[in-house]
Amino acid sequence: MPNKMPLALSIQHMLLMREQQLILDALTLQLAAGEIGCLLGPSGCGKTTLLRAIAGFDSINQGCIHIAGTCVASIEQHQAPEKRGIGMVFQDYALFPHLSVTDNIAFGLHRHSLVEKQNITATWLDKLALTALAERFPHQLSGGQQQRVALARALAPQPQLLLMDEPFANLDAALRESLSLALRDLLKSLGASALIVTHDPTEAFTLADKIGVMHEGSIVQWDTPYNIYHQPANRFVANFVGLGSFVPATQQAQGKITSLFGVLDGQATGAYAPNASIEILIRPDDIQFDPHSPLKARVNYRAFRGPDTLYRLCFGEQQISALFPSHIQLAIGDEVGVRFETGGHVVAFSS
Amino acid sequence: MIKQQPTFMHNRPLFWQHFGLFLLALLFLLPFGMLFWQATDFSTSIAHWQHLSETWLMEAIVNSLLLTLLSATGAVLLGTSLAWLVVSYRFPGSKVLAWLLILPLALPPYVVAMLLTWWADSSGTLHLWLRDMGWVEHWIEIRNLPVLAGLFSCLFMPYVFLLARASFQRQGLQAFEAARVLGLSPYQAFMRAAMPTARPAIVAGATLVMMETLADYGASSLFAVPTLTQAIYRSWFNLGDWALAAQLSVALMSSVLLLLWLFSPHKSHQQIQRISSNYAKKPKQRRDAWLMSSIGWLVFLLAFALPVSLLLWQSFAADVPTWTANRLGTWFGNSLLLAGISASFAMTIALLLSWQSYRYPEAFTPRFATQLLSLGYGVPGTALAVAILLTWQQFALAAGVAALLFAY
Repeated sequence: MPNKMPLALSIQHMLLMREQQLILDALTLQLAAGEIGCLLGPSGCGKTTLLRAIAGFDSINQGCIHIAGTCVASIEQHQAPEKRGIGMVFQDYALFPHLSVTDNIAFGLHRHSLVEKQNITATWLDKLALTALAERFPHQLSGGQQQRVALARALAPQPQLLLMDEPFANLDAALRESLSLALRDLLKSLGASALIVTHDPTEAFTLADKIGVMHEGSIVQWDTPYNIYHQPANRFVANFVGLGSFVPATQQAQGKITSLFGVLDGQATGAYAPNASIEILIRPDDIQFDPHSPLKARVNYRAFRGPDTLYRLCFGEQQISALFPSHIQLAIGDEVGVRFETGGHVVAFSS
Repeated sequence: MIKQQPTFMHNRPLFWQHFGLFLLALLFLLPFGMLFWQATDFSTSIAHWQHLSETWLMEAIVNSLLLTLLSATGAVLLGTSLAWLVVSYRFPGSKVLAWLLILPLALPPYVVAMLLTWWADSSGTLHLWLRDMGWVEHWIEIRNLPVLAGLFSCLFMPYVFLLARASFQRQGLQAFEAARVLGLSPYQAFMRAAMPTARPAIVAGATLVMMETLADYGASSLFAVPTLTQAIYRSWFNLGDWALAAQLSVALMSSVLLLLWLFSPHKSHQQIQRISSNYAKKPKQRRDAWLMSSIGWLVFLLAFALPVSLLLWQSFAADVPTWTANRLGTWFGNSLLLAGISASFAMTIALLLSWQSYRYPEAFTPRFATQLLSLGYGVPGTALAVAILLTWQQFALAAGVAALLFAY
């Protein structure tokens, strides 16, 4: 079944220059229909430019973009944004300040008859709990309400692909998590394909089926959230998506790795010659609290974070971050027993 | 719009602050009080009114109205389209042009009117040249109302341009892009999304243009187009009738206030949304780029560069006797001194007021004083001159410079 549906979005070897500068370089990604993709990266990595190129606001210099099986951009061709069948939610929402909530949502329905327009708008007002606000104007709405209007406006014409630029950037941190879950539920219930830009790994993990980590104008890894976190393709991805420490180690034969913590079970990612010196990635959640473990470390920093506490543990010279449940209370200077749980694989990079 | 209010120890203005603002407002209102008082005196003016209405009062009113409407329309068309051009497209010199297009505001309309008369009138240099070459037989009379309106449109266009540009940058461009994604063509998106978001700004700009046009005296008198301001001067100097001048001034001021009220931003339900767009579109083809930049440069050339270079050329070409140079120096010095003192007065008062309204956002006195003094901009200079001279006359203080300063 998945192979019969055309891809919602397919980008091949795309290159984009602006004022003699390379902004996006040899970019390739594929998003299946009904999937939610996230573009994750630090500011200035080109993720918003990529979104604008897909929307048709920027023309590309090489490669091609296909939306739902149709080529919309290549060197020879540049389809206008209004012909691409996309919906877009801008970072600042860009609601029309002179139109009411209802008229904002109905704006994209100009090909429908008046009755259809009213029906569709009413459905969307209802779906996003905006009915009570239908006659208000954008400046009379809160940030969260504005975002819902922007979403309804983008989705009402049933676009083949929804693009969202930093959807939660202007909202309270407390709202973000519940809203990302709600957004995911909504998009999944509609079966919509979406590409969402964000700089926040947690947001991307909550929302996405696939995450593309971007760095200096290209996608360095396009993968599931789990793999992005646990099998990062390079040190940049490893550092960007979460805390972690790099520890010197040696790859032994038969799936064993030796490090200063002793012998770990697991095969290092990538091909390394036996006895090659490598660096392994230890995530804070790879370390378990175990008072009976012979492996001991000393606490030299702690930060209470609510459900868990972040510790920095010293193994001699080597420092490693660890997350323990909040109820385990350790003081700075305490000696603590720990155990490694790597889940069978160890992420390694050549040192 | 999120507004952060500072917190201070005192949340209410002190007594002397109330008093100071009150005094300032009084000083500001005084000339107008005198004007209205003088305007109630109909003893001599009835006969003059009759004379005026029989001769050219109607013409002056119709001219003022027509001129205001035409100038505003022209300024809106020019200002809005140029603002959209520099905001939404990148083309050779677009950034420089965005600033150069403000410059026409620096040219006094009567100076340009004078240049136009010298150069392009039936006895003007241009006509003489062309006639000598044998290219033209008859010359078109250029000193008429439509040309004057065109002149005002070009020179006051920056008011609309500046306000529309800010609005397009703030939200118009994003509204435009949002409309494009929702299936509208560039033209539809501009008309249905970008323009409406900038409408309050465009209307505000047009109001300023209308106010400036109503207040003009120099250019219309050079072009011999009778307007309301000229009616004031004529009744003052030719008829020597202060009361009539005051009555006409009140009429002129009322029409300006009516304009301000009609186009007051409080009447629109729109408010500014905090929106930023850092992206500008590039023209699709090189051809577009040249077309766009040439339109922009053409307007700048006609409305600023050409008049200024003609002026400079004429100044240098003229054989200036020493006495003129000396007197020119005095004139120049006077103008500079006057401008400098007015600017410092205006700045002090503005600073004082804005600090007070910032400090006590809830208090009545600062808010009232601010609103009152902002009206000052809308008062035509002619009406103000009559008002202030009346006041000074009553107080038997003949200090013209001080009166002029106050007018600014």
